[in-house]
Formats: sequence, C-alpha cells, structure tokens
Amino acid sequence: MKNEKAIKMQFWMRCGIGGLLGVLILPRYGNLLNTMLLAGGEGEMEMLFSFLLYFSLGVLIALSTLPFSSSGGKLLLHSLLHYALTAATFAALCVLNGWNRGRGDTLLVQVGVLGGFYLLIWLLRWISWLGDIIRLRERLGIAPKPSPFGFLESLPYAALLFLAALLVSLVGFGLDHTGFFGSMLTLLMLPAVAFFAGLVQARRSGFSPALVLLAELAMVAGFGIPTLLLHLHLGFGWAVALPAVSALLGSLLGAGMKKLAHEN
Amino acid sequence: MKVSFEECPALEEPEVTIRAAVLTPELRGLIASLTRSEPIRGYRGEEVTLLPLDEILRFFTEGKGVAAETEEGVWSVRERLYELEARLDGHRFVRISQAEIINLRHITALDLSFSGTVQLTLTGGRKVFSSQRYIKKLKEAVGL
Repeated sequence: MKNEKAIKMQFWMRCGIGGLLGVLILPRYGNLLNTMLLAGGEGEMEMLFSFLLYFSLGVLIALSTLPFSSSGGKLLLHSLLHYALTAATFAALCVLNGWNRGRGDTLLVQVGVLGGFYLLIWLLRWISWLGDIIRLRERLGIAPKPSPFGFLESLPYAALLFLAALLVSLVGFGLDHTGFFGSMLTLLMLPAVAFFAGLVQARRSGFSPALVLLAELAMVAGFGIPTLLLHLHLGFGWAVALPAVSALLGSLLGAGMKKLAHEN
Repeated sequence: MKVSFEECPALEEPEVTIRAAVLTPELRGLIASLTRSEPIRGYRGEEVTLLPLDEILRFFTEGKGVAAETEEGVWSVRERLYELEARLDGHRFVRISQAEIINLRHITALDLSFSGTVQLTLTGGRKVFSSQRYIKKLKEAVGL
C-alpha cells in the first residue's frame, strides 16, 4: 500500500515538474524554430493553446522517464499509447507554430522522426536486455556457437546505426536546408556511435568482421536515403569510410577488453 | 583445484567457502552438492513418490495448488511456492514468474522476444516465460 502511494506520488510529481519545465523551456526552442522558419502563431488563443501543448509535451516527456511495465505486451501497449499522445501533441504544436510550413507531408515526416526516436530508444533498451541474455547464457553454459563472421550478433547494432544515421541526418537537414549542418552532425556523431557499437558488441560476443561491413552499409543507407530524397549534393565523399573505420577500432578494442577480462 | 582444510573449534557447524574468479557451472554443481536438499514428495491420485531435486524441471501453480514437473510427468506437491522458494537452494531453483520456480540445471536455451519477455526452454522442450523483473533474480542466482 505504502509502495503504491509512493508510486502515485512520484507520478504526479513528475507530471508537475515536467509540465512546468515544458512551459519554461520548450517555448524557447519553439521561438527559435519559428525564427528559423520565419513562421509562428500570433493570436492570444493560439498562444494560450500553444502553452497548454508545451505543458502537455513536458508532462509526456517526464512520464517517459517512468517504467511503463517491466516487459511483455503491456509494455508495448503502454509505449504505443504514450507515442500516440506525444505525436498528437507534437503535431498540434507543429501546426500551430507553423513548423511544418503548412505542409501535410512535412508534418508526417516530423511525426515519423518522433516515432523513429521512440524506436531508437526501444532498440537501445532491447540491446541492453540482449546483453543480459548473452551473459546469462554464458554463465549457464548454454551459449550458442557464434554465427559466421558474427553476422547475427551484429544485426541489432546495424539496425541501431541505420536508425541513428537516418534520424540525425533528417534532424540536421531539417534545421539547415543547405545540408551543411546535417552533414556535420552526421560526420561528428555517427563515427562515435559506430565506435561504441563496435566496442559494446565485441565486449559481449568478440570481434565481428560482419559488424564493420554492416556498420558501413547502415551508415551509408541512413545518411544516403535523406540526401537522395532531398536532392542534396554534398562534398563529403572522403568521409564515406569513417563508420567502418570507427566500428573496426571499437570492435578491436572491445575484443581486446573481453580477452583481458577473460584472462583475469 | 586447490583444496585446504582449516580447523576452527569455535564453529558450531562446518562452514565451506569457495574462492574463485567466476562462478562456473562446475562450481555451482559443487555448491549444490554441498547444500543438497531432501527430495520432495509428489502425489498423483493414490500414488506418492519421492522426487529427487535433480529431476525436477519446475514447480508451478496449478489451480489452487502447486505442481512439480519432471521429464516423466506432473506431480502435485503440498508445499506453497513461497515455501519452496525459501527451502530450495537459490543457486539452483529460481522464481521466474509469480507462478513458477525453475531448475537452472534444466535450462537448455534462453531467447529474448521483441517486447523483452524471455523464453526459457527446459529439458524435453518445455517452454516457460519470464519478464525482465524476474530476470534480475536469475542474474543474481548465477552471480551476475
């Protein structure tokens, strides 16, 4: 009973703090984006409604820090419900503030990018669960034989890299239509993500040549698809091998760390 | 394996400490043999049998009672699940859900679903499920 009361208290506390932070912080970014996009709602009612939406979005972000459920269908359902509410609030803000520049397809992309971030967080969580399963299998002496070149073990990391590349590029290109900001964001962030993916994967399952190849493919596809769709002509061809090199370095370091841990 | 014996007259009952870098399956077996518990009585109609713990795959709630499953079949037991949990060796029998305790030595495969539910396959192909909340218990049981 006491525990239930504490959980409820925590729920309402987070709602309040999240809503307040939403009203205090989010409008700044709203205005920033408005200025950048040379658009924005000006009426009093729109302003009031806009603040209500900022409050709601703050509450929804705060609620996402609470565990929806430990796992299973209930967790999936609660996550989807949370996404639906967040997407509706976010879409209303986009329309009201003119972030979608009055275009339905832009709004769809924006809501899709939000969904992509949900998927990314879910994938990160799933990879963390998978780490536990791998360690449990090892301890119980039931670890399966590694797949050729570590291909199967690398797939979740490749999916993560593809999604990260796609989202970072889309957000970057959305903020700067020349493609420069998006490219720089991609060039700076993604090699780091590839390095850590290689490191974590190799620490768990050993060196995987497949990850190096899959990391490269995932990054090129994740960065290339929006570049092609937006008809951007970028001069960053020299950086094409960066993800593979980063993943290779991370994977070698991770494999070394795994070997050291095993020897000690 | 290095084995040593230390005489301690002050100890009321023997105490065994195993020191190793990691808890391997062999060491878990050694611990289990040192803490070997009495067999469990299984009932099936008029028939009563002693079920060796090694042969039990799992205990689970069945209707209002509790049952034990071996490769040979299912037997009713008189104990409640929480009593079994307290009585059995925690490094060998682990609660994986509200309604189930499994024998770690009979796990043959572990698989993760997209939603985070873990499917455990036991000897003979029996599949049971656990949530992430209970996987913490499984991790503790194997020393993770």
